This record gives sequence, structure tokens and C-alpha cells, in this order.
Amino acid sequence: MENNMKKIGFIIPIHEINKQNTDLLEKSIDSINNQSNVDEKINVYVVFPKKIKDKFQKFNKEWANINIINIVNSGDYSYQSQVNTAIDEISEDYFTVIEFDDEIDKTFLKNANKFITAYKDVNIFLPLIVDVNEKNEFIGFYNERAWHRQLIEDGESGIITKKLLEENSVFNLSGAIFKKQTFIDLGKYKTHIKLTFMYEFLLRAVHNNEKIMVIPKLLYKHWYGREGGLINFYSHHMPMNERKFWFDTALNEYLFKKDREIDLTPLKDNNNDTKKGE
Amino acid sequence: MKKVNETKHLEIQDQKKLINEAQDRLKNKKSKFLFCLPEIESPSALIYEIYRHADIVEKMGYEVIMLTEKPNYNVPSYVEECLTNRKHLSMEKSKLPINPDDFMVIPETFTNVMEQTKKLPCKRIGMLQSLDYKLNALIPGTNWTNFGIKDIITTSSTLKELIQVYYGENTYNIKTFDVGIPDYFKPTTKTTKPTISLVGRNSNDITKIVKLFYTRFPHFSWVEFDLMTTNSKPPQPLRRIDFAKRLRKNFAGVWVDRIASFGTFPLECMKSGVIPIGLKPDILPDYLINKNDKGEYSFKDSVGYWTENYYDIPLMIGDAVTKFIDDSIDDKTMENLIKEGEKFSEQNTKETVEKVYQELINERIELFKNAIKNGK
Repeated sequence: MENNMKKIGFIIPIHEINKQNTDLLEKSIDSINNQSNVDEKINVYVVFPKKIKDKFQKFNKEWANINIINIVNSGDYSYQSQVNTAIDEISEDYFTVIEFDDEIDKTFLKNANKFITAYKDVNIFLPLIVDVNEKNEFIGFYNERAWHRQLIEDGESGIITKKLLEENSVFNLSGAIFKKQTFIDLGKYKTHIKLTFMYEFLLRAVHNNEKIMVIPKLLYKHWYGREGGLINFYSHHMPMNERKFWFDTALNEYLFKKDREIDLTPLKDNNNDTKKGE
Repeated sequence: MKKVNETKHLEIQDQKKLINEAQDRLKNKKSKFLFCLPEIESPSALIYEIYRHADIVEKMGYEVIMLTEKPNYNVPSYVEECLTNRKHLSMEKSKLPINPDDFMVIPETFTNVMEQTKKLPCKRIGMLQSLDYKLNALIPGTNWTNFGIKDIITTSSTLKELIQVYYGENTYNIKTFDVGIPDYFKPTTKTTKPTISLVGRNSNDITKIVKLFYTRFPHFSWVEFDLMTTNSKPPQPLRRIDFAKRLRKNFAGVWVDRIASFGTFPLECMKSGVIPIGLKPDILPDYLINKNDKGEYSFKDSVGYWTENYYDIPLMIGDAVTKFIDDSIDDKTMENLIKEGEKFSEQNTKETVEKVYQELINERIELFKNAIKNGK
């Protein structure tokens, strides 16, 4: 690392190994390997469930600029759980979570450090994310809304406020850079919340007076709607009432740091009503 | 006949005495420098330079007076108080004695003052920032020499050459000084925002650029434009120091002004580490061109985005935004940009302005010396 560069750990959760996932994971790690302005190895923590441990061991490739550290996640292997498990293992003061099918820009670390250094009162930074389709064609941006004057009104440019979150839930924490201790103090990700766990985390952070900034640099490329991906699954299989349920849950639960059990009865009642209607 | 000769001899003696006194005052720094101030509502580089010259000449040891058209002159808020805090007198009401050793600096927009002051004994100098303004204020076929003005102070060698082409090489005694950008224009120590400063002469030109940009690049609807005025209603011009603070937070600055001969906004951008994007003015300022030994000009590289076609500007902004978010503008390019801006320092202005006025003073002293010699 250049002098004064903060060490940032990269966490990559993966729940299944197959040919496609392996190729994607390799590309993702390549993008971390290709960081500019770095002369010390970067730690990449790949988190996978116990059940695929053997498959993963066959897959190890050597990268010149990174150390791959495997973390086995027992029990619940949701994304949230994998990230929460990894946090307890990493040695760095800062970390980021990269989805195995996504890539980061070669200036990711350089910009992460620049902003961490310039804004000492900020412990959570979101990158500008570009959404692409399977042909790598531009679809749109994520997280740019924190810079949109008409949405932030008199608020500080680039800062996510409660007001902004109340009117815009479309923020993505993939590639976000967290101060590890802040993430822990806030209560980590909630494993009981599906779909809107990132949104709930943001609300919780802002509620606890954490300043969250969006770095206006395209540091993260996200593959939107990948077949087999979680978003694709939700958009095809999660009914509208269930999505609303999770949004309402996020708005109720952010007041609590504890990962509380969620009463799913309303979902079951809704399903029954639907069946009765049939 | 003897009486006529005696009378003439006495007159010559009186004149010699006056000239001697004028020469002494000049050598002893007792002469006055009068700077004429037009009332221009919007922020004007011309007004700023007049005040700056006044400040430098005062520091050279001379009495300086700002002459305004009317008594209720509004001292511009965008100019620093340390520059404007000096004596202002209205031309309407003033009964100021003017001596042959005094100097009067008259800006290009004040041809009425040039005409009205024709008979004054002081040395009158035209200050030229924009050829357009000079021509606008003259009726066809007239010239500043019609008002007895043969000395010009101007900001750029290209403007000087243009004057010489159209008015003849020996018509005017033209001196140039280097415009300097205050040191409080400097790069940010933090990071820049995806915001673009927008400065132009014509508000319609500016509005069109913004509309065309958002039409062509709807996915950049979150990119903001900053008109560099106060947030009050109605908006007011910023003080220059506040303008500098705001400018350096933005990543690019767009400038649209066809007639400025030496617009300072692009230089302010460069010095602040902000990328200038602009329409090439009709008269290219020195900071945009290289001149070789043969006197041939070429456009400089690495001084931002420049075009002759107004409708290229929104596209260039789009390109600049893409490069900004991609972080693909390399550090070396930015360093070069800042270095170009830093060449136009206040110290340099002080030295060149002092030189200009000292030369004018020396020429005046020489004139008096010759007048006395010839009168013998």
C-alpha cells in the first residue's frame, strides 16, 4: 500500500459453486487484483457455506496481488449471515463486500482511500454503481440519487439523509466501504430481513447519526438481473404483497440494533386469502 | 514689437515654471492618478482591474482617486474591500484641480469621458480589455486619438497586435500587463463534486447549454450546474473570494463569452484545478495559445475543452462528466492545468503593472525635460 493508505478487506460471499459461478468469481477477483497504486497484497475473504467446501477447495487460483482467505460459514448461509461471519474474521479496519458476479474499477482502492482520508467524519461510503445487462450494456446507475439536487433539496450533496431514504429506497450497499467497528456497533446486517436488509441497514445507520456518503466515482459494476441471482429470483418469485411486507418491516425494524425475529404471519394470512380467493 | 516679444518671453517663462513644477511633482511622487469607474452592474473583470491598478499605483507612492460618473456610485461587492476602500469622487460634482503631471486612466466604455476631458492638461490613458466594447462606444470613423488619447494599457499581446493591424503600428503607444489571478484561487484539499460551474455573458446561452445537456444525457440528471451566485432571492454576485471557495469544490467550469479578449474565468478554473470547458473567444487570450519565433500561433494542449462551435459544448460536458466519474483524468493532466493557471500570479501582475506605470511616468518626465529644453 502507498503510505497512509488504509487497508481494506474484500469480502466475497458465495453460496454455490458451478461453472458459471466459478468464472464469475474469477473475474471478480481479477478486478480486485488489478487495483492501481497498490504495492502490498490485498486480503480477499471468500465466504462459502460448509456444504460446498470440497468443491471450493478444487477451485483455488493464484493471484499476484491478493491473498485469498477462505471462510467457511456454518448454518444460515444467507448473504447477510456470510457477511456477518466474515466481519469477525477480517483483520482490516475497513472492509467492503463484493458480489461474486460483479467487478470493481481499478481505481476502487485509490478512491476509497482518498475519501476516507478527506472525510474523517464519515464511516460508510457507497460507490456509484453502474448496472449492466448480460451483454455488458449500460442500464443505469445506483446510488446517484444522493447527488440529485431535486431529491436532496437543501441537504448536503452526496450525503444520504433520512428524508432521502424515506422517499428513495433504491440504494445498493454492494461495494460500500465500511469502517468495521461502525458496522459492528450498528448491529451488522439483519439475517431475519429478506429483500430490504440493505435499506434497513441504511435507515438504522442514519437513525444512529452515521454520516453516509456516496463517492461520485463509478467504482462498481453490477450485473442486473442475472439468471440465478437473488434479485432475479425476487423479481420473478416474490409477490408484490411480500415485497411491500419487507419494506414495511425495514421501516419498523431500523429503530432496533438487534436482529429481531420477524412475525411472518401476515405473509401466511395473505397467502391463505389468495388461496380462498381462488 | 518689443512689448509683444517681452510678453511672449514672460509667457514662455511662466510655462517653463509650470513645467518645472510639474516635473518636480512627478519626480517627488506628488502627482495624482485618477481612475475612471463606469457603473457596471454585473461582475466585471474591467472594474476589478481598475481597482487593482489603483491599488498598485498607490503602493508605488502616488495619490490615487477613483472618479465615478455619478455621486451615488455603488462600490461593487464582488471586489475585495482592501481594493475598494479608497477615495471615490464624483465627476459631476468634483472641483478637483488637474495638473499636467497627473494621469487619468479611462476604460474603453467611457468614450464620453474621453471627449469631455480632451482639454485637461493631464496625461490620459485608455484602458482596453475588450475590442468589442471599444468599438461599441465609438461612432464609425472615430478613434480614441480623436479625443487626444494615444496611450493604451491592455491585457494581451494578441489584442495589442489586433489594434496595430487595424489602427496602424504607430498610432498608439500600447503597453501590456499580465492579468493575475489571486492566490486564493487554489485546488481543493478535499475532493471535487460532480457539479459544473457555469459562467457566461448571455443568460440565454447558458440556459440552452443546460437544457441540451440534460436532453442528450438524461442518465446524468443528477449532475448539477452551479451559476456561481448567492443563494439569496434574488441571487447576487459572489464576492471574488467566495467565488473562489465555491469554484474549487466543482470539477469543471463552463465559460461562454465570445467577446471577452482576456476572460479570467478559465484561468481561475485552471488555478483551482477545475477543468475549463468553453467557447473559443474571437480574440484568443495568451493563456490558450503558444507563439513560436516566427510569430505563428498554435492552440495549447492540456488547457481544458475548447471549441469554436457552441453546440459542441453540451457534448464536451458529457464527455467531461464521463471522465470524472470514471476517474480517467490522470493526475499529470491536472497538474499541468494547475501549472498553467499558476503562471498568472498576482506577483506577476504587480510587477508588470508597476513597469507600465513607471514607463508612463518616465515618458512624461522626458516630455517635460524636452519641453523645457526646446523652450530655451
